[in-house]
Amino acid sequence: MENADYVTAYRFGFGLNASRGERFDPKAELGRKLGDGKAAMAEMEVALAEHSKTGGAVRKLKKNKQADEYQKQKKVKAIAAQLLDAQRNHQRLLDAVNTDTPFLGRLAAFWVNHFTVSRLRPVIKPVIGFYEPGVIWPNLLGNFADMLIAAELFPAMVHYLNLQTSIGPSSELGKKSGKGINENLGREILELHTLGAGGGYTQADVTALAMIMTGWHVAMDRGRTVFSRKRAEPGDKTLLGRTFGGDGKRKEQGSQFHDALRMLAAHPATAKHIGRKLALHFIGPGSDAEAAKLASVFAANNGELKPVYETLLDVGDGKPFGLQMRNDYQFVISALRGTKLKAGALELAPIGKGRRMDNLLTLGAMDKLTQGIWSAPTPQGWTDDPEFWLSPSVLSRRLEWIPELIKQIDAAEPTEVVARALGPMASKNTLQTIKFASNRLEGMGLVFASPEFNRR
Amino acid sequence: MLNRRAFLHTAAAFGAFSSQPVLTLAAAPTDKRLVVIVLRGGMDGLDVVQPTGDKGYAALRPADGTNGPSPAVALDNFFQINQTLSDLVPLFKAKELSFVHAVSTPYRSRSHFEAQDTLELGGDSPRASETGWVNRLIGLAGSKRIEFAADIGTGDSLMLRGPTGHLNVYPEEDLGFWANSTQFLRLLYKDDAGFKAAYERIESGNDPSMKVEDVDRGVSAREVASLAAKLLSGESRIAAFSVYGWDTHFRQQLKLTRSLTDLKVTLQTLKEGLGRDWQNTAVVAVSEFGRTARFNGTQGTDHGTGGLAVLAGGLLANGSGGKVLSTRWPGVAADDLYEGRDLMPADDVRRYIGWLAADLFNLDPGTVTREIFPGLDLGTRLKLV
Repeated sequence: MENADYVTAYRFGFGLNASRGERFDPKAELGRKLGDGKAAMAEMEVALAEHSKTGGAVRKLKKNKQADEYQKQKKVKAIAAQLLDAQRNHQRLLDAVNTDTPFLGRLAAFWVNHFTVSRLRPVIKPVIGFYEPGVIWPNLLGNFADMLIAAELFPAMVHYLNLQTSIGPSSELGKKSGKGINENLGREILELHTLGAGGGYTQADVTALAMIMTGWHVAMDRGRTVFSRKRAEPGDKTLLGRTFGGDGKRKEQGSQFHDALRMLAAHPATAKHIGRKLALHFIGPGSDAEAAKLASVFAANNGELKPVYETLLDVGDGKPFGLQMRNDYQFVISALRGTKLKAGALELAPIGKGRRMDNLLTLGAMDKLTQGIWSAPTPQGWTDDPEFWLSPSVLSRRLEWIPELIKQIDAAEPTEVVARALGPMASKNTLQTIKFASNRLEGMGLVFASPEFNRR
Repeated sequence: MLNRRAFLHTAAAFGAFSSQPVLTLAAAPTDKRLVVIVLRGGMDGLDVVQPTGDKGYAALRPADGTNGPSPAVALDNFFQINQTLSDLVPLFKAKELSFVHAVSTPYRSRSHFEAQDTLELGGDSPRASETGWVNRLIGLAGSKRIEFAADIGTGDSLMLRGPTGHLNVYPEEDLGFWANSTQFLRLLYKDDAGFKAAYERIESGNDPSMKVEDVDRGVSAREVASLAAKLLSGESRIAAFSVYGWDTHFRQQLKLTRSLTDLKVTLQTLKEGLGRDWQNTAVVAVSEFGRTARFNGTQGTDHGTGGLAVLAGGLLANGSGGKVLSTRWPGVAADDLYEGRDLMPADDVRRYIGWLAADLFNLDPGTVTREIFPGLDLGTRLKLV
């Protein structure tokens, strides 16, 4: 296999494991048929409704002053929730490790990060695991506007960016309760999800979008996001010069949000913003020409994503290796794909004092590294600034995790490990250093610590 | 979680340093200390130091249970201080604490990320500079020793970004596996400048091993502040870190209580940990912007403009300690608000930091406006310390 194939597989996939006889054909992946995600969304609704119901039952015990029973039930609920959470997150990482469509896996991770939700609040936890299968994958090869709408209305997003508590001040409920809007989601949609900072919107647009969105909230007992006219702000709202609203029928009022999002998706600033982000993520800094090309393809195809990805593959081809860093997610998935592990190494098991279900190569890895699962520090998501991923803090955490990986590797010699994990990407210096290592385990560790395993 | 054993080890190591005062004094060009704290998320200055003497305030924020101002105690005859900070009133009376009200950077668009970039890089706009203002300051003020300034946290703070070397004190790691690998890791990274630099910083921080877990992943304010105090009692003269959790869109009183407790503990721990050196210390804590003057519909406030900076330290007693400073109180009547919704910034917060830095490190005002905050008009002299 050519070195160039490896460079492509690093840039657009999770590397290549030569011993698996693996090929990397990202264009072919774009021909895949993807599921509609309906099963995942249905399961999500059941999980959220169940969460709401048991939560209510537990709270009732508290209200009735049944303290012992309350504590007991609360604990039972927490243990069950932790287990489910661990199983879903573990499975998500395993799916990435075992995927035969690594380019699609990378694209899905890109969009999950673009539309960041974080498990900031307890209510988000039971549903967050359905975000990727229910929202991102079904729209991955479709149109940006559809993904945008699905992401903003996903219950975890509604809670995370406070749409849940935002109420039109002149709506029926607003007037009765004195409550009003929270503009958090409106602002982040404009700044992060569509037009981008500097995309030409004003504070008035932020407020208008927040008003347009009122009415939409999660009906916890039904486990889904619904529209309620009682919470919706009546009257006209002007977003980027276009008027939405009036006091039309319930259906018209509810669809204002969708219309507004479609308008934002079609805005030229959105095309530029998405082009910039894709180019920075997959290629690296200094890819302005590539970003502009992606933006023009995005705009010319009305947000259809497949042609954008095809262009991405074309413009990324032949770019030099190493402009970007693997983030922690890519680092872990690549490490697990690029090694032969001992039997059972990827099974969940009770670990530590609390006997939590865990696995130090999947969940435990993400915990130990900087990029914790579903815990991006801000709605901006994880940065694609390579300097961040090359900071001492990130590197030292990786050095700290590598011993856990080495313990589970099924190989006798560092030379076997380097051949699988790096193939022809291994530099002379790395091969030489591994040869000098004072013991075999250290030699194996150096493979994953090497610059070429961490860059892409 | 902090590794206690390693932390105590660090403390012991620094204890050893400070028992050699001659050496310490020789290493640093000044005795004055500066602590820079970024309050990330946008602190609601109007709920922290409440202008209850302004008639507009009660109209703007009527008392309304959890949907109004937090409980507060008197600070002077115009301002009240959030009750969570009431333990700091004696410090205020002792002229070791001040507030600067109605200030902001020149940035106006209410994005956290751009506002923090502006604050940290020190320019007029988010991307006005490639390097952080603290990095430029240590280049001008410091000795060439790496210990002179310390970044406590994840090492990605833009304030410290730049060519001048400094400590980065970061998470405790188990480097047992690599205990004897130093030479091989150095060899592995010798041809890659980025990895070489990162690894050198890991190594220099590793011996003596002074590391805390990321500040945003569970280490307490007390632990961060004690580490800062330890470093400043040793050879460091500048320390920078962040206190998180100020983005109070929802249930502000609850969240603000937590974050203000962190801020309170931070200041108390710095004073306690610095001991006599507190008299040579100035602390400035500043947020990327203030919040909306009115409450939103969800017991919180949204991103705003004019905000509050906190000044502390023994050095203030010689200058502007024990005051709520404001160039000109802008008022909070509906007509006074910026864009009808935020506290109007009456001054550029960089002016306060600029005069402070000039006095602490003997820089002339021209150097400050040329090198540290390019383009800033320093205006009339502010004697803060």
